[in-house]
Parts: sequence; C-alpha cells; structure tokens
Amino acid sequence: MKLTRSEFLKTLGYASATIASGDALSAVTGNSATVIAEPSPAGQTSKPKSDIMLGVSLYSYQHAIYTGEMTLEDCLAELNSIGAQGLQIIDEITVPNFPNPSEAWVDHWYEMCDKYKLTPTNMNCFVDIWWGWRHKPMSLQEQVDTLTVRLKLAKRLGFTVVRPTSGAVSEPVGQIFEKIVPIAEDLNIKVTPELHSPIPLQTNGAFVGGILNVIQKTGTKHLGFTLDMGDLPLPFSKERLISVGELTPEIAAYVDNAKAKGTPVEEVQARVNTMNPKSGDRTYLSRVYNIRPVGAPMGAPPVAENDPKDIIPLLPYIYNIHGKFYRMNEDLVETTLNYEGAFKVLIEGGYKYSIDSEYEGQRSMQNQWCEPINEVEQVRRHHLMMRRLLGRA
Amino acid sequence: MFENYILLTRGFQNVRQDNKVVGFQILVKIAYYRGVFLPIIGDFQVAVDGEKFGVDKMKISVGRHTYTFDETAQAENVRWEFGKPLTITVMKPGGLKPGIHEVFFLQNIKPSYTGERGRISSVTKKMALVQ
Repeated sequence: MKLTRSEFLKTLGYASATIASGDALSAVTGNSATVIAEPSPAGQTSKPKSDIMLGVSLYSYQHAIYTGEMTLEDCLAELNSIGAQGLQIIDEITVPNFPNPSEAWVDHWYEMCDKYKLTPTNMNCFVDIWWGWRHKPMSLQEQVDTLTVRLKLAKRLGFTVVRPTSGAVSEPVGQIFEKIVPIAEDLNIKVTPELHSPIPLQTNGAFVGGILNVIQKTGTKHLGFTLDMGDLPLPFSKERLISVGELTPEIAAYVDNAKAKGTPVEEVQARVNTMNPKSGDRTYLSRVYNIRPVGAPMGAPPVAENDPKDIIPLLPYIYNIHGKFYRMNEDLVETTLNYEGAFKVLIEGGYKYSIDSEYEGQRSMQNQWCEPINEVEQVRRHHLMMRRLLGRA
Repeated sequence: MFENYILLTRGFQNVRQDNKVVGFQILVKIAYYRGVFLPIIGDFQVAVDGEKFGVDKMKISVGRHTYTFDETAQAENVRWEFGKPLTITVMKPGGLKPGIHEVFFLQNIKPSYTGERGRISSVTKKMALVQ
C-alpha cells in the first residue's frame, strides 16, 4: 500500500510510533521515493556528507506575514521552491483559532504539507506562566496542563518536536519539564527547551545541567534541546566586520574618533547619515555609543563563552536546530555567527535532524530606514550557505 | 520591532453612542512576533496632540466583544492575533475635531520570559480624522 505524504504524516502524528523524526524521514524516502523529492543540486556527484535535513521556520517571514504580503500558502510554496524539507512554526503566528484550529484547517494543513513536500519539524510554543502579571500566575499543574494542550496541538499537526518557552532563559529549569516527561512520552513528542543566547552551553550550566538531570533521572528519550545558532556568536570585531562588508572603514574611523573626542551621539548620527551608511554602520555606531541598536545586528554581546565544541556532549539530546541568522551578505556569509565551526561539529558528530533557517535580521530594520527588508532573499542565501557547508552545492 | 506598523491610519474616527460623540477609536497591531491572549497586554497609552489617555479611559474591542482594560486581564481565551488589529476606543466626550492630529500610541507586552518590564513599543504618527 502506498500512502500519500499527508496520510503518512497523519499516521506518524496519531499513532504512538517510536521512530524519531530523522528516522521517519528516511522511512518516507525509502518506501516511496516518488513522493518526496530530495534536493538534487546540479553537479552533485558524491554522497552527501550528512543526513541533516534542511528546513525553514516561518518565523523567518514574520514581517511579510504581519503586513499581509505573504499568506501561509505563499510561505509553504516558497519553501518548496528552495527545496526546503523541514517546516517549523511559531504556533501563535500560524494556527488560527489557537490552540483549537478547526478540523477543516488541519486537513488543509496536511494537504499543503503534501503538496509542497514538507515535513513538520518543531512547533515553538509559549507557556506564559505569569499571565502578563495582571492575572493570578499559573500553578505548576496549570503550567503542565497548558504545555499539554500545546503538545496535543503539535500532535494534531504532525510535529515531532516542541520547543516550549516559559520563564526567563536565565532562570533555573522549572519542575514543568520533569512533570511533562510522561505526557511527552505518551504523545511521542520530544520536548526541547531552547539553548538560546545567552545560555552557556557547558554541561555544568544551570539551564543545560538542569535539563540533563531530568533526562538522566527519568531515562527519557522525549526531553532534550533545540539548539539556537544565535548561541554561537562570532566575537564583535571591527576588522572582521569590515572584511565581510558590514562596516565602511571610513565611517568606523570617524565614529571611533568622534567617540574619543566626546562628540555627542546626535551629532555623530547626523553626520553618519550624510555618509551613505549601510545598516551595519548604524549598528556599529550604536555599539560604540552603547545605545539601543539600529541596523543589522553584529552578533550577540560576548556574554556566553560558547564554542562549537561545547555542542559535542549535547548532541545526543539535540532534536532540532534553529538556524538563527541575522545577515547573509552577497558572498553567502552569515556575518555574525559561527556557522562554519558549528557545522563541522554537527557533521562529524552525526547530527541527523533538521536545521531550520530562522531569520531575525528584519527586526532591527523595522524602526528606521536602513534598506528594504527581504526575508525571502535572506532565507534563500542562508540555504545556499548551509548546502555549501554540507557539501551539497 | 514593527513600530512603524502598529498604529493604523484606517479606522481612525470619532465614536458615537445614542447620537452623541463619546470618544474616538484607533486600530492597533501588536509589536511582537506572535499573537497573545489578552492578559499578556501590560499597558496601553494614547496621546493626541499632547493630551494623554490611560487605560481607565479605554475600551478594548476584539471581534464583536468589547472589554474594559481591567476585564482583559481575565480574558484568558481571547486573542490579539499576530498582524491583526484590535480596536481601542478612547472615551472623550465630544471626540476629536476633524483635521490632522498627532497621535502617540504605546503598548507594553509582557510574555513570561521577558521579566515583568516586558516589551515596550511606541510610535507617533500624524493622521487625518475626517469625522
């Protein structure tokens, strides 16, 4: 019997199968190769170095979705046109009548996943335990119940991984994760709190260590991590930023000199505005003057001393990666994060799940004119870079 | 984020009740990358030509339902959807005069992970009110 992809995904979603998302993909490609198209870039002759799946988080297109420029189907068609396989969402952007979409919408969702050859990977959800501080905060049981509702929604939509965010990233890991384990196991959903900047990746850190303790204590295969690439920043360096074309040397020199002379920031901003600045120049000015940044980000502040090798001990527990990025230049280089180092570790370590592009550069371009926002182009460049890093292009 | 997009020009108008102008309304979108349930809204502030209005002067409408700001704290199942406007009606007897006004709008969104201060976004925009 040959299942359509939507039927197969539904089977995965509703049955308590024990296969993981990476294995599930192999099963699909193995059993019905005509149904799913592997990306096959021209000129590829050797076996891919890795089983890593490449996808996109619709977070990347948030500006176009917000302004009504792209519908959900527009986004999914674009994923198909760049050969993306993994599909990641923020539930509270994408799901109508959240958290209870109609059956008709869910059917439509599966039809679109089928049509555009997409596999749901990670559903990002929020458990707002403080209710905006205007309402009685959630009890532990209410937190667990809320997360359970999200996991069931993920199941309905065919996701195999859920990334919950509740309290502050720097807070010690709450009891919610211990309580959710049996429910996640029952639903066969992997719950993966996010390793997001500025969380230290070392195993003795409060966040990482806290989750690892729960995994060890319960022996579960349904709790782990979503790794956000933003947690692996490149150091802030003027020379590097000039070399990747983010920063104009003359403007950097002017800003440094002005700061040394104590020139007021307003005066410097006005002058820089006359120097045909790039968005990176504006960000550099913000950094040097320690004001709220505008323009393209240049890497997170160096708060986390994270190195790609820190991923190695965590690899058995990483079930999805947010391919966070801020800026792809025309040389297809991400100018702020350590992609090269991270991909080397992921390939050598045998990471086999999805890396889903998560563009966030639009955020700093919505307040002030820098240059036109083009999320679609940025994601395309990001996929080209990832394909190159994987030896697939 | 989204500051340039959160205050809509469309829908800016005086509001009548029983043939009397009781205030004016603005349509606003969330300055956040997801929609939220209404209790997550921490604060709204509106000022027109320098005259400030706090939440005690506001009614919040989503779909066909209207709430006082205090009531939104308990509206656990009502959503301010991503990219979709809700309506703020500011109670001001007599409303605003037709003409161009400088409208300031501030929103404070409080997801649990940001700490109690939350995310504050504001915009000032000149908009013509016709009636």
